[in-house]
Amino acid sequence: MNCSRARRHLGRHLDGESTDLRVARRLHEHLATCESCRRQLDDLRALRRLLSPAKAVRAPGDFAERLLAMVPLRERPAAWKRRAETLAFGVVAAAAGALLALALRSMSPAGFDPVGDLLLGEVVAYETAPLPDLRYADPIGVPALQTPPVNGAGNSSDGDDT
Amino acid sequence: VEKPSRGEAFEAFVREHEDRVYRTARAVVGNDDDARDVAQEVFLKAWRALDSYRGDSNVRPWVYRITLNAGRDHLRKARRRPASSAVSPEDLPLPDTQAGPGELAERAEISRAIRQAMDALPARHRDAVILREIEGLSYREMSRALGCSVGTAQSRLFRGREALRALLHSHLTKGGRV
Repeated sequence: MNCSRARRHLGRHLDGESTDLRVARRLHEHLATCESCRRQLDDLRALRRLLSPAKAVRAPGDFAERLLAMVPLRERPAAWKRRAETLAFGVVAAAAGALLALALRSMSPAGFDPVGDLLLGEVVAYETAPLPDLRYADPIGVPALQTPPVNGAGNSSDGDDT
Repeated sequence: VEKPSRGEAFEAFVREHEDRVYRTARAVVGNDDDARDVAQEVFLKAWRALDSYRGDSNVRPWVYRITLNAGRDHLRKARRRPASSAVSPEDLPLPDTQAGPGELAERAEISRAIRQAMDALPARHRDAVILREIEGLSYREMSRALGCSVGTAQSRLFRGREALRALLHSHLTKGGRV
């Protein structure tokens, strides 16, 4: 094994990722005779030591608490979910209404229009109702000066004013 | 067994990954304030993606990937602002109460050199170094986190280490070797 090839394998060797035993054996043989590659392996180990303090870094003690305070942990369903539920309800309600209308139509005799008949009934009732006696009407809310005559009682006063 | 609510699932997710995400973010951006911002952004992304998360055991590579990407985006934005040369205590070697002022100054210098060297690396090489040297991922895990083949991940790590070795040569011979 030459130096160039050995240096490609030093990292794997250092990381314990060498799986090819034959390559590992050749690397060991090369290192035994090559001071330059041994120095390079030492450099890689030294680099690992230089970087090692960063392994001890931990999140600040209050990190999780502050983060969890930023999100609504007991939130209502997501907005898209609420919208989808509303839409689904609307579709179901509309479909049920349409089905009901179809069912009523199919059960009625030909030409029968229940809604139209209901409206027509209102109009007929209004047109045939007796007109009120406008003499005693109170169009603007002012009390009538003359009360309607009551049979046998021209003046209802029982003498309290006198 | 009752299924955990979305909030409970998220809290468990945060507790499990907070150190990992924060540490990785810090290795990318180099200081605590920015690391906190990046880590928060990562978890808020995770919160939005939680509906599609089914407790997959392979979530770790995904966590690393979005953290590295968020850190990279943060650096890109930060480079448009004036740079800070502050050194954080976490960059320094582990505390030693016996260390005198001279030694502390030297450690600060090493810390600054590491930061500058990491910043000088192409992002994909730096990411590979962080995942292996700081997070201790296997090559296969690295390839998943980086979204590339195992061979490519290994190649990026090799290049990253070579660059760091050259940039930190004087410190390797002084402080790194035992």
